[in-house]
Amino acid sequence: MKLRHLEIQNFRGITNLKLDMGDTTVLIGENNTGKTAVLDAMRFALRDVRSRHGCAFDTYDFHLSHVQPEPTNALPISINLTFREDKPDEWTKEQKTHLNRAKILQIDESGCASVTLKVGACFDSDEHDYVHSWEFQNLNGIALSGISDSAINLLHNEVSYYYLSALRDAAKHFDAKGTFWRPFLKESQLTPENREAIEEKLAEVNKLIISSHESFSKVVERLEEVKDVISLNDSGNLVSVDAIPARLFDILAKAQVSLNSGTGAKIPVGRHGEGTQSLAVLTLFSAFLQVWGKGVPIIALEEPESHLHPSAVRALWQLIEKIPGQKIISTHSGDLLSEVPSESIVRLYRNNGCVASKRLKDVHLDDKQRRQFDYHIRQARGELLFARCWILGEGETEVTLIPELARSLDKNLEKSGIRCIAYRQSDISLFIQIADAMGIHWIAIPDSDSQGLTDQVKIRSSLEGRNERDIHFPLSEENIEIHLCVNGFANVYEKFLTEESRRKITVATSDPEYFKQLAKAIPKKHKIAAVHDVVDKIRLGATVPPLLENAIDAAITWVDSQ
Amino acid sequence: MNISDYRLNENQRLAVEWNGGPILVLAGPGSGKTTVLTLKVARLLSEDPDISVLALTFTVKAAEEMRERLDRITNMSADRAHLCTFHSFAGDILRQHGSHVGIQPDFSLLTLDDDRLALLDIICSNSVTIPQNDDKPFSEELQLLIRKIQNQRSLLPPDRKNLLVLLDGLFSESYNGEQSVKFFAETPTWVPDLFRAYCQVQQESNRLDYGGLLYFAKILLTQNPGVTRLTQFAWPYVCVDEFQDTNRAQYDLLQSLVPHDHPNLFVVADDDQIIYQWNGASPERLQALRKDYRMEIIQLPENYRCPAIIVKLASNLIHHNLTRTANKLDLVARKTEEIADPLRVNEYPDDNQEVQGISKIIKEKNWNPGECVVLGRSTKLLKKAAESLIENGFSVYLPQRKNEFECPSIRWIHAALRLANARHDREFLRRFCVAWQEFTGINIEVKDIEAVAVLNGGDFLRAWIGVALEKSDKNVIYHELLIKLQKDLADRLNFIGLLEWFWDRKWLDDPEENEEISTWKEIHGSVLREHSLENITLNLYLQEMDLKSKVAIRTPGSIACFTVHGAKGLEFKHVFLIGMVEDEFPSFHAVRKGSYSREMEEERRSCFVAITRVQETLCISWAKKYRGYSKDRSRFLDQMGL
Repeated sequence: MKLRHLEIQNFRGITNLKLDMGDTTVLIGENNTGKTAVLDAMRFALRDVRSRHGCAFDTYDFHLSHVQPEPTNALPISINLTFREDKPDEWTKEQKTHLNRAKILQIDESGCASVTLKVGACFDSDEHDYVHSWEFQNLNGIALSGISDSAINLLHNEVSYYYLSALRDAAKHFDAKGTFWRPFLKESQLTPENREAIEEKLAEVNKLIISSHESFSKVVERLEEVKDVISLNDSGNLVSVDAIPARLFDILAKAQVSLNSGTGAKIPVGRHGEGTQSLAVLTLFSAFLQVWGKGVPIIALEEPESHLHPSAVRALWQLIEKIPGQKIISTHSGDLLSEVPSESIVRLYRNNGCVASKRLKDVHLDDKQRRQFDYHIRQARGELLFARCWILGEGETEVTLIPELARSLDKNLEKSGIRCIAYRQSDISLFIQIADAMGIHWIAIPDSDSQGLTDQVKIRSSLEGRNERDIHFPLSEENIEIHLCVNGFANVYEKFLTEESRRKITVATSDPEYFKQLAKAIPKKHKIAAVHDVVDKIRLGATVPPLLENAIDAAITWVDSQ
Repeated sequence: MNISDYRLNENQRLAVEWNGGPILVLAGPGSGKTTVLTLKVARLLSEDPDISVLALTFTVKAAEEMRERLDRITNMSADRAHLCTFHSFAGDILRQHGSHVGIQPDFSLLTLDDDRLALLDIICSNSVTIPQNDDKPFSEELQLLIRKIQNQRSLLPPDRKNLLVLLDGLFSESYNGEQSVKFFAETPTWVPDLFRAYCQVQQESNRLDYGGLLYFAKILLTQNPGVTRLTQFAWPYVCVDEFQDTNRAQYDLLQSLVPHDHPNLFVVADDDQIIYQWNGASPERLQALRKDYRMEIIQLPENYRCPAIIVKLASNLIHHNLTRTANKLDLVARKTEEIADPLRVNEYPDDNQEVQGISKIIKEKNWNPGECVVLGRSTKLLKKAAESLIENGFSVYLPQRKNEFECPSIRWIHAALRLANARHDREFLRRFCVAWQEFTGINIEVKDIEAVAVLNGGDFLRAWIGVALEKSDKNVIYHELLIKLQKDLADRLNFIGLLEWFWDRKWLDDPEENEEISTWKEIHGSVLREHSLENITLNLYLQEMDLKSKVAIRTPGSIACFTVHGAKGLEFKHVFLIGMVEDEFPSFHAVRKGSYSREMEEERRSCFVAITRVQETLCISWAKKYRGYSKDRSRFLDQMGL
């Protein structure tokens, strides 16, 4: 049973969030945009809330705003999950029989079955305590009645939800009590004959060790004296010293997983570095689900990339793909994103203080655009999707220049989540479309040459109600180099002229055409070097071109306003 | 479970172990049919842990009795067996899937004729403007129908109660709004419109009566193959008890539950015990069932209940019916113990002496009154018998059809729950005010409450409590009651707590109060057994209450006075069958229809049912005069061979 829709209200930082879920959903977003809240909300609904009584939620699970800072009058939490068939008869007949007998199954006009569970919590002023509640709903979102207590347990059984948090301590997970490790240690997998044979062998080994250590017999003798003091059932072997565990379950409980270290020595998994531990636990988790999992489990993974080397992160996706079931993954890693199919990416972001979500799946890209997106953004710079705001400039000059300008203006683009992108490698509309679809703000600084003018038309047609003055900063000159020359950095560029290139300039320095000819005369290979010189001059006190400063300010003002 | 632990005869065992497709068990009276049915269900459940069984019964009581027996036999979690009536099953699937036919899970059930008349008023109203639904206007489709009916108003019978009877008849025949109806020679033109409008108004106001319950369940199952399939998955095995009394609507529902191609259908019936012809049952239905599902038949003619002589009388009598199943076997008396004097036949000069005779015999024989029953064809004569028994110092149990409580205090608290469940409902408010006046004598006007309620979001209950508190501030008892109502019902829905508190007190000097509280507690217990305390919402509680009869429970040691219909499925040590004269049993109506009429056959079956209730003694009696008029002794006496 796959979860196809999730709605969360008034839970932690989330006031109202609706998510459509694919087979794999990768949640991205900055800290505090609700990724963990989404995973936790599912955990409450699919694991923690079992009875009608009590409250699985605690005070800080309620959404506390400055308007309602008191949990006692916070708005009620509501977590709504819809499991739905993608096509009729996807679920087994047994599953549907159980769910329908529990009176919680619904079926839509197309014949697809679904189950909607709502879990909620609120403060009960009569009980002076928080109380949780649950209900199943019909297709119109109205509570079904006559549902027995066991219905929610039935759903939990049918769904099997697993949650693996970002903290993955191998020593804990590979303990005999660990949820995923314990089933592998089950003695019952051995036939009784095998077990007997093994235990016999163990007894022999024990005998050999004990008899070779004379000191043990002294201990046994002393201990035998116990029976003189208290009465014990003396059936021969009152005291035994076992050098190794005599019974199989003791041995199994102590089974230890060791990995070869770089030096070739076997080291218990719990003694490895955190990255290796984390990976080992993930692998164990995957093995557990492949061997013991039933049906299509729902797997929530929090930051699977934690503690891993960037190239290991890129390899991680292959491991995750092998984990069976529907997966919901939260990540902070652009490297992981580079391997993730783009349609499974969901970005959470804050919009006027509320958590909102956007899916890459909903962006209508044609094949060429999709390829360009994959090539230029997802695979190369997945981290761009984590940004709050993009500054779109024509080429590498802008991308190099703008962060440096901001730094000299004492403004921190990184801290504000602002990234600069050179759009010339593709088409500016692609970036605008992606940004809009993912809830990323954008500011454009297009050229004004003939290509630049078509870009400006595209920008103007994508304003969607935004004020052009706030986001569109077209250069008054044809390109950035001319713009810099006009704005007092002509001497920087003049330094890059050679005898030969100087001859291309046909007008006097006072002529308006001069800067244009100057910029054009500089060979392409020097453009970046020239920008570095411009930056140096600005550090030494030269004035930042006002248009660029305005663009930077506009980006920062927008981010601050959120 | 091991079937050999139960002493079954060959036919019973065959029925329980049957695996060869759909089977009809023709079970005579006292043949152990409930045992067979219960064992059958238990066997299915224990053989395969994936199997689930739906067993449909005719009454709530029968379902509960079977549940008890089944729990004793299987002692396993019984969620794989669903034992209920047709109506409660229809309610279940409408609660779960009703949105497909416009019914929301919190629909209310209309059990009172007054409520149903209120619905009729909407569609037959004289006024030009169409009354509004509570919060949203009625659909254009319905408004159009209403206008059509208004145009034909002169043709409509003036008595609305007759319209209700007509609608019930249409529902039981599974009518769908067609142009012609089989029980009219010429169907009046307004009938289809009226029927459609009545269904539509039920749907749009989310209130259903019993007929509507089956009607919408049928529509849901016939129009939504997805829901039908799910329901068939959930209940792949279906058993039906007392099939002979199902009407067409119930049969249609059954047909959509059980696929014709591979039916797992187990039906218990007796064509000699059809006594609900007036409610749409008919001998032909049994024929249709056999044909539709190509059923094999097992007969259980062995009677373990009645003394041999009674079995003989019953056999003699029923042989006079012509529309019986072909090759129907004669009853075989199998009662092992010998009963002395199992039959008395008495003739009295008049009805007074006839009823006096009952007391005389019971005293003379020193019978335990709790083991005696008086059976009659009609309530009139039973009332007379009851009076006479009371005069002679016996306590009497004379249950009467009762869908609502009658004691004012009990009516009032019930009305309070209904209003709490639908706080904007004007009709519930009106009844609540009437009940309060009957209970306390204090008059509160509906329109005053409506005015006050505007201030608190239209919550009539809250508004009413406010006004009532003002009006009764001098009365400590009412004040306490109202405060309790406010805390437990208006502020939070602790209706169980409120009820338990209310039941513990005495409100009126009326013996009925106590009696109805015990009845309510009984219903309460059975609702809570079905849905645990945790799961029960007020809405569901009220729906379940409405589905259960409010008939008082029998006090131990009292002599029961039952109509034949009321004695269906029961058995008694000593049976007094009184009033065995023409025009009484058989009824005047049947006599007029003639010796070979369907009605006469139904009367004969009723008489067959009556005498086969006997475990030890049957006392048949008649008088030469009833209410001063001379009567002839019943033809059924001759036909029995008396």
